Amino acid sequence: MKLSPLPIYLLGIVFAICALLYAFMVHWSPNTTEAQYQRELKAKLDSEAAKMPQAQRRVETAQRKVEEIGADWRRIALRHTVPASLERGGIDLSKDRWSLTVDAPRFRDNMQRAVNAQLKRGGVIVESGPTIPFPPSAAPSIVEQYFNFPALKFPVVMFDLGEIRVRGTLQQITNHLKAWRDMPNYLAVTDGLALSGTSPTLSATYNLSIVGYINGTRISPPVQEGTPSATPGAAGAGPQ
Amino acid sequence: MKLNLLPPYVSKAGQSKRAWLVSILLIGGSLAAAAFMIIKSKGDLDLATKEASEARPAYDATVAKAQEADTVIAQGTGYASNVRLAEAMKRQHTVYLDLYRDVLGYMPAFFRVRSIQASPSGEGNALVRIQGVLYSHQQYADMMLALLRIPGAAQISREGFNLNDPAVPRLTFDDQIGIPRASGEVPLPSDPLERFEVMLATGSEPTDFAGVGGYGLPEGVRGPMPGGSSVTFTVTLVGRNLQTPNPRESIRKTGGAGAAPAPAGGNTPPPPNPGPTNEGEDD
Repeated sequence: MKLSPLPIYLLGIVFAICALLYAFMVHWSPNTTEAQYQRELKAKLDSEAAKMPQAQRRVETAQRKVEEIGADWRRIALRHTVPASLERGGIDLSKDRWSLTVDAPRFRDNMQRAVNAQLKRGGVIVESGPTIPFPPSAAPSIVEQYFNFPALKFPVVMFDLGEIRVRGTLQQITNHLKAWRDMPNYLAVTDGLALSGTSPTLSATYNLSIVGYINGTRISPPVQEGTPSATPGAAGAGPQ
Repeated sequence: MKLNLLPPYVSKAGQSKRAWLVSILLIGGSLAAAAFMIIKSKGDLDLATKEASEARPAYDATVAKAQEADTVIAQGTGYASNVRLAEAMKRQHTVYLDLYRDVLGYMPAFFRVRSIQASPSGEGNALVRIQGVLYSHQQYADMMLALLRIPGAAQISREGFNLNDPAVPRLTFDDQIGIPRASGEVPLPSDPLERFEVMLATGSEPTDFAGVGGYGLPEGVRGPMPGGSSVTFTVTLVGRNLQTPNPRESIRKTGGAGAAPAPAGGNTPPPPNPGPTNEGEDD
């Protein structure tokens, strides 16, 4: 079959267009777009990478700040945290839990002594002082209940001691309140101060909360303690 | 009838050959162009991808460095929280004293303060309740003006004044003048002799120390003297923050509230974290 020239031309043109379209649609356009994306990505990566000096400075600043904060806390801790020793007024929580049931009341007494001594600061007369709560006697839960660990990240005693009432001159009361700032081994906060009375003897009432961070590096693990039987010798109650 | 006007050297076969030749050239050219597009775009893409890949390590290093800063900051968060709490607790001891010192500086001399009490009132405001003694209606009014001088005083209320000033009464048969008298006092006749008689009949003279208001005792709280009023002023001060730090809540927020209890059975729990110890305090 012989073709006239026009279809031959058309055939050539169609093949040429198909080849060009294939190359453009399948390769050129997606590759060019992807390449553009990659170039933009590189620009962003370069931009972020150029922040390395800032990141370095940020790390150095953070380290310096953390060191400063650490130093601040060491200064506070030196004066206002509970020593890890019963002899020095604190408590050693690394002892076994049964020993802690003996030590905790003594620690509580030390804490009460510390609060009592603090209450006398400034020369005031104490009309109504607070009582430090007694620790539980159950060995398995003494650390959890009294020292708030592990509910908190570190053992700490926190007590809202209620209303305190003291009597003295305005100067004595002022000195008394300011003295709470320097309470050794503990941090205290006073709130709701009210003054009343006739000069020179005034009455002051305020609320007191006290916090004691317990020092130490180890805490004794929990123990298990059986429940005493109500009827000794009952079937199944004793050891088999 | 059809006429063939083409010259004799133009034949059909020659035209077809030329058409095939041109078409083949056209197709060959387009294939070459397509190949160029494929190779060029692939090369560009490979180059861009390679450059992006080469830039990634530096980016990763920067990100890692930035995250290192976050890690360092996170390490100090607990200490920072504890320090802030400790400093806030220490500051709190003088907050009320400072407030009272400032407020009492504006008390006029005629007003005797018997008690003063403050409490937080909303964000950054304080409510100060002052109880005291004064002796006239004018002093009661002047106190408001005096208290308004306190910086930040936004609202003042008052109560307790016992208003018993003499007032002009209506005329009666006995009193044709309208002699001023306080509430509870007997009407006085306008006739001088009759008035004298009434005053003699109703007048009395204290024969002993009455001890009103707690006076006469060696110590104790003194109330108002006769004629005085025990009044209470409540002042709302804007910009005086009395909010007390809440150690329990602060420590709980930064100290992992709700943490799982330590495992039973002898496992060692994680060490406490009060940070530096004061073990060396006595060393």
